[in-house]
Amino acid sequence: MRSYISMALMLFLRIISILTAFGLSVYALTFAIESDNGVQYTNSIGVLLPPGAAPPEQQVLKQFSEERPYNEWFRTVYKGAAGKYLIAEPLTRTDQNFELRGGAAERWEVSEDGLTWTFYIRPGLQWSDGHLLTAHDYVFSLRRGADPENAYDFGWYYQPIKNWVKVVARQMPTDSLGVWAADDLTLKITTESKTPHLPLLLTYSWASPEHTVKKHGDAWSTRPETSVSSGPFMVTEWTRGNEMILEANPVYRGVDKPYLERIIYKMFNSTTPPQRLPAYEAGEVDFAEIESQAELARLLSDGRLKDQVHSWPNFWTHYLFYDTQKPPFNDRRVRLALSLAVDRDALSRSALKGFAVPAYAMLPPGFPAYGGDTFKTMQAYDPERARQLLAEAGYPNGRGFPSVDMWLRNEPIMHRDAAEGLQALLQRNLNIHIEVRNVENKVFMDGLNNHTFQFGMVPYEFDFVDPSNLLGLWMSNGRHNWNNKAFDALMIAAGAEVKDPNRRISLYQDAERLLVEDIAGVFLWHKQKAQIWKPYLKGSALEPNHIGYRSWRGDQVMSSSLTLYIANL
Amino acid sequence: MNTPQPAASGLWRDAIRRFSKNKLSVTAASIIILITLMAIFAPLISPAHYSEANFDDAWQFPSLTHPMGTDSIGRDYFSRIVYGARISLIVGFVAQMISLLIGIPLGAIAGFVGGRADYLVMRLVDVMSVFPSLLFAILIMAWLGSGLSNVLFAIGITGWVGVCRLVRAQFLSLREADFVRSARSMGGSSTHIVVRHMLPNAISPIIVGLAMGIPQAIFAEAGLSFLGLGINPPTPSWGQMVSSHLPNVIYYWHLALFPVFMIALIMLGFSLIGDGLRDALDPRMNE
Repeated sequence: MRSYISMALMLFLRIISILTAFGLSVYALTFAIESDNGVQYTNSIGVLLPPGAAPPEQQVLKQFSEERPYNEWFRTVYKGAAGKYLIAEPLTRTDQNFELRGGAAERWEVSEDGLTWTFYIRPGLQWSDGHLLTAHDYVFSLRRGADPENAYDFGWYYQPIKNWVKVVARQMPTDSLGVWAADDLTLKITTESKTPHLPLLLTYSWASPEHTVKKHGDAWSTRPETSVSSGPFMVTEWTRGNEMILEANPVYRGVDKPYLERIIYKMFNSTTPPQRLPAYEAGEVDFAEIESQAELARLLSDGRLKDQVHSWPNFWTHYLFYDTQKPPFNDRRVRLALSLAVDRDALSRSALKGFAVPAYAMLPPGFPAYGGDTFKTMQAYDPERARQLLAEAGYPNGRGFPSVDMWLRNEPIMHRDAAEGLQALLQRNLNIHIEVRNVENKVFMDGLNNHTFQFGMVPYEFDFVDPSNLLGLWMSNGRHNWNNKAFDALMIAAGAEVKDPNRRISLYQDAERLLVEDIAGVFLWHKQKAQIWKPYLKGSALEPNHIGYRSWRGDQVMSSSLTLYIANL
Repeated sequence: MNTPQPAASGLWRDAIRRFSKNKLSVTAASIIILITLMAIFAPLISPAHYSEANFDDAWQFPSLTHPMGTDSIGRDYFSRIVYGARISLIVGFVAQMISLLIGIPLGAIAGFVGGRADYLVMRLVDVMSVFPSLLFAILIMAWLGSGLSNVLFAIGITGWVGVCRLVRAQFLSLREADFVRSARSMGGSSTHIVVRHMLPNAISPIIVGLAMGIPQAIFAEAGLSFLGLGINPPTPSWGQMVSSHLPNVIYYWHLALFPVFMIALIMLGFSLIGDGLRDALDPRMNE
């Protein structure tokens, strides 16, 4: 009797479970379709996830981010939180191969004289509160960037735009800026001179919402309640010092719809940086930056973690600069002597091990107009010839060489070690003593921009993939006291070459040749990025592209970064 | 010479006897003597110059060729530790000398002259005591810039307050002592009384204060160098070595361990000597 009851109970339970499983699978079928790799899901904003992706509720990315007051690109870059890249739509974006593609602008054209650009805004774009995203928002945004009252910290970047410099300097009103809307969907921009890379420049044009800024002022981006979004994500929660949560924007009408449902930023203050690797190992974040050789060595020695470590080249050049107008560095022989006395390979093998490759020119490998290999031989490590050149310049065995300070901009320990390596190399090979002076950012930038430093070491990381970005800072009005009219002329000619991209590239190559041959600076190393990420984190941004570069930089700047998703393991 | 001065020699002889009976103090003294010898004979002891970089040997763990390993640009770490003793000892002694040169005269004036002078000196001492001395040293370093002479100045100028208080207190009590009154009644000048009668009687607490002050100065230098405000590279300083290799300690443990150990050792050595001297110089201490 008892066995019958238990059998009946078992049967009943089995029926229930079969029914439940059937119900669940029917339920799942409404959201997922079968594919070769099993179930394929659709996320809450209607994007079909790639095969092998985890269900939508697991599409959450957790990462560290520095706590900063604002969350709006055109308010401030350096005091702006990481969400600013995702809650607004830029006019253009680049893909994994750095190819330009449309963002808010679906196409653009330039006038016959190369000075007036027309951007056609995609129809139907909107802010998360229902307002339409129009050309007027971009006019407002760029004027906001130029407005002296806004004191924008990234203003130098937009100087090619007509009257930008004058507006910033209060010589002209903001509405005289060369940006206006012909109609709701047509944005016009004029430039000071021909600027073929303007669409590339405008990958950094995350729009500010005119109607919201007018209503709430600068504070609009500081609270989720007043924050609106025209981008793939929107801010739903921001508890200061703790977390910022972004969720996929359900009314986003742009082209870069994300797979992820949610991004959780774990906020930290720059004064108390987080323990990145322990947090990563504890599963609090899905990826982490590797910042020292010890971290890299420890991870690579760990059989479980070493496959999660990735490193790839970054478009980043560290170089020594000279004041070429004053002795001793007004003599090209002295500049060349220093360049030949620096063993770049040795630095990349020791202090910078795993984080750098030797550099022989400003443009890094893989960058358009790269020519580093051809400049390598003329700067190859040759202490003998370096000593000879220094003697010819009047300092035999370093005698009489003035004491020189090498200025550094608030460098981390790894780069300070490399600077000590440089100090040792110059002492050993040329018998000249230099003092390494690592100073804080403001002191350094004042000294650099006022040309009061004779000698120093500084990095430059690219903003957009065009030679004008990395070479432009060497022009006579730039940050270094190397004034070369021929270089300026080549840079201007290349900048004005709108029609023939190949001629443009070769002009930039000529310009860089002048730069390197005159030893305006000593190019030391290109930085390698190193990160660790979980095996379930996937996406084309994490994959090497045709030049071995990964467009993933730890933030979601490029459109390919929006392809991140969480895979089923 | 056949009649030794009974009191003075008795005190010092007793002190030496008491000190040498204290095993801890003797051990500490021998550690400091060893470190001093290491600093003096650094070029003989160390296998390489402290700034000699062999890039191909970078990041090595301790081995027979490099007993303490090598750093990020392949400098022999043992050599850097040995040369680093020079900086620590120079800072310890010179900074204390600067403190004494400021503190003793000011304390003597306050204690001996008294009245308005005492008031002024003590208010200056109060003002100086308001700032934490390391903070004050950081302020001075930020103003002067880094470098050994500036470190000595910054630590010396912030360290005299203790000495000053000590000397003043001694002088206040000595001023009323019988032998000082006798000297004065016999027409001794103020300078004579201070230099010949009062200072010798105040010397033992000053010595103890000196011995206790040295490790503080060494630690202050390590602290300043740790913050990047101390000794300029490539000159090795233990504090700077700790600071520049702190992020590496999770794997290259030797880079932070050895300098930390040396800082601890020299601090402990001087502190124990100070303790021993205090006991030894106290005439009331009888075994």
